[in-house]
Amino acid sequence: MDAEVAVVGAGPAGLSASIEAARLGAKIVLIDENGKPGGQLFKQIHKFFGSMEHLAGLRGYDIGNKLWQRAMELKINVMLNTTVFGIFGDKTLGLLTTMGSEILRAQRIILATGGSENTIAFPGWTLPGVMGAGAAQTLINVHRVLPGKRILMVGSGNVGLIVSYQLLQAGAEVVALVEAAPKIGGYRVHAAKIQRAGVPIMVSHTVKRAHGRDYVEAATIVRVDDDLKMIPGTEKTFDVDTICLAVGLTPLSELAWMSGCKFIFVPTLGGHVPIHNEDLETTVEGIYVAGDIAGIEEASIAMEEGRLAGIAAAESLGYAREEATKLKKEIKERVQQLRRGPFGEDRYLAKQRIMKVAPR
Amino acid sequence: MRIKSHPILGDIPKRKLVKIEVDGRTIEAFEGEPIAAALLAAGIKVFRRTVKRREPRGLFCTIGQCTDCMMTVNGMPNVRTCITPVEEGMEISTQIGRGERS
Amino acid sequence: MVNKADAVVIGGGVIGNSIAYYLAKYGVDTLLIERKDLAAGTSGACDGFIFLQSKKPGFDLRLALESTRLYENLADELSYDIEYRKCGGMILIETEEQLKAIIELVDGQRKTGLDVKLMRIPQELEPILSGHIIGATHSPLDAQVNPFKVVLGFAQGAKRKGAQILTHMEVQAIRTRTVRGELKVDSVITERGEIKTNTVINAAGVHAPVIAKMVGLDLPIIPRRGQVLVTEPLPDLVTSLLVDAEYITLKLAPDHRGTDGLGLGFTLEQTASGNLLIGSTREFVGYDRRTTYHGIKAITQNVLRIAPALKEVNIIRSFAGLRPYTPDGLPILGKLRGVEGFIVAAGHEGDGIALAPITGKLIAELVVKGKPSISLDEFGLERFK
Repeated sequence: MDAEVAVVGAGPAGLSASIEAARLGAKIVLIDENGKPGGQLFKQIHKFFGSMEHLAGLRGYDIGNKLWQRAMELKINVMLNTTVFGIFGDKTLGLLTTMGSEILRAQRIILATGGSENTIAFPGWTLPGVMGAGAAQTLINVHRVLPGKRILMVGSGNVGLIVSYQLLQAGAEVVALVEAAPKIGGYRVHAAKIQRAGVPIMVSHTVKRAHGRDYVEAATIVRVDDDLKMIPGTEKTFDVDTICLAVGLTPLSELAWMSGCKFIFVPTLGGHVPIHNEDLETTVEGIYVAGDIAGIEEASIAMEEGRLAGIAAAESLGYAREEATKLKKEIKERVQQLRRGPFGEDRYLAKQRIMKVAPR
Repeated sequence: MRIKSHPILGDIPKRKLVKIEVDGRTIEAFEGEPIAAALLAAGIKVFRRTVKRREPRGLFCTIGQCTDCMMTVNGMPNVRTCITPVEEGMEISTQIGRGERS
Repeated sequence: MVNKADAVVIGGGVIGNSIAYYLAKYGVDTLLIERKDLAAGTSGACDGFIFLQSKKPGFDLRLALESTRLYENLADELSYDIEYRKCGGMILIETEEQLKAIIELVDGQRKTGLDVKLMRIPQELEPILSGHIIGATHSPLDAQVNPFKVVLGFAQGAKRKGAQILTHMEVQAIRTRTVRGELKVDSVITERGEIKTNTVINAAGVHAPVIAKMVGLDLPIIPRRGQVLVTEPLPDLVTSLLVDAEYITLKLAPDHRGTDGLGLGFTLEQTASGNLLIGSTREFVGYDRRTTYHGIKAITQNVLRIAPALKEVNIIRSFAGLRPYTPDGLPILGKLRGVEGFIVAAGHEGDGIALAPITGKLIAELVVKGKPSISLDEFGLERFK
């Protein structure tokens, strides 16, 4: 099989990339290992922020539906239940489908593989009942099952705050949210919502231990000092059956490593990130990244990066040369807006660092 | 526990109920939902025991990445239950170690 | 940093670490230098076969037998679990033609002292084998180890006995001086300084020619890529090391390229953690360590021919290592004429793990006593001239 552009991952970035590149005339193959497209969009039941271009005011699953509908209108060739198990020399992708393995030769590749949740280790952290906050979100919003009745949330970034609220909406009790840093990490408005609902947000606190024989039955939290050292004597123990960890994400970058892309270590963006330029092209010509693999940010940015990569890939194949410059400029301005403010600033600077070492 | 009604998502969608067997016990599940979801709904949390120390493990990432939720399904070990859909009559058992018989 | 040593070993793979260990055991002030990390090259990208049956009857096999004897007590000696298991091994026979050739091989091996027999129904011992396999050899002496652990065990053992190991340090040059008209090793130059020494041991595997070039010598070692697949951990399925007859052909006729130039020979073992390691190719592609779609596909098809029941098993990784190939398939061991104090121990191709203990022991004896307990004459560089 051949493709002008192979897009790996049908989440917000991959769908957006496919749509833009297809709209400009490129022949796309969009691949996802899951049985359903949309990546993590379908578990996002909150309304997105930003301007109209970012589909603000819509809930994540609405955005997912819209993108999917658009991809279908454009008759994009989508392969679900298909794992890209490797990228070999000369942009050859090894695909594992339900039927067996096959080979896909692409002229351009856009990697939009997303991220995976981080964890932290503490005594008892392997017990059933300790899980990623994103995992709990999937359970309640997609599969409609509660992971437990009484929850301790660890981490006050937007994921921790939003998932806490959604656990409340789903009927669970969030006993407390602990945050090791001295201040709340995510947006004020998300924090206020769960505080109003009576969830104590305990900054300068972390989880010390999970108790239980075969699964979580209780959790001990402890105050930490400015160096994040536990302060003895400040422990509190809660009866909980679930501990959710919202402690960041890491780019899922195996395919970029395998392709020979050069990396840079940027903690603000989740760790090792493939070096990429303004058009999201990596150090391997013709291989692009978009979304969380290009640095952990938000779905709205993932979509913009996807569009940008899609346009850049199509442009490099000779499609819509004049239009592309204008489109890319608009997107870059919108991305810059999204990275304004105290939360975006660090990520903006981190991205600048990457661009500096990237090929032109 | 199932979330039957939800302030935003509304009532739980109607789907076909099927029977599956978990360690010899029959439970009801929705056809096509992940095995892991059906198990949690039935109050089952321990999915496997580790190779060396037989420690309990359960669901962790729910999206097929971490492999903590592997169980033996229809005799096959290492099945990721968080992304494997329920089918009528499935025989599921707690995976012991690498999937040894006992 | 240290600025002198009695012996400098270059290369932190299984051969270099084994040599460092046995040297230190003799009380030699030893320094091992590694450009990357321990087991970062071939020793960290191979299987754990200690397979006697693939050795040429005669000298090669004799060395391997000695090595096996050393392996039996190595874990105790090093106080390190190297996951050694005397699991036995089989050469699988699929055609009458192979059967004839194998009978001949087995005869030769028996004469050298290898305990090996022919089995008519190998499926009795390994039920996973396909019904079309008409027989197999079986030697109870074949064994397996975890190559990483062997390297680390030797390294720790060497350090305990006083050797120094410096990683992430590249050798830039080897200085020689002329004494009574003869070139002699004088020092090793690294990016972190000069180390005075009389003895340099080149255990740099596929990179050994680069090191030899530093003293003006050419080694006929070239990299040969071997791709290997790793499955998910599985319940105990396979006891023995398994290889097919094509693998043996490739071993005994080093120039044989096989179909597609892939040099495909079947190998399979189950590791202590339960993963199956399935090999392997033998390809001449320079220093390219990547796996290929065709390599992976060919290995998969090969294993399904031998053990169709593995169809449902998941492959979780693939990797490739570069085997240091020599034109006759045997390593180059011993002193090199022309530069006094320069010793080579490289070119083991696929036998580095199997031959590591005996290589280390004999090279150490060569350094300390001037003469090893088993003659290395047949492994000299001169045989290629």
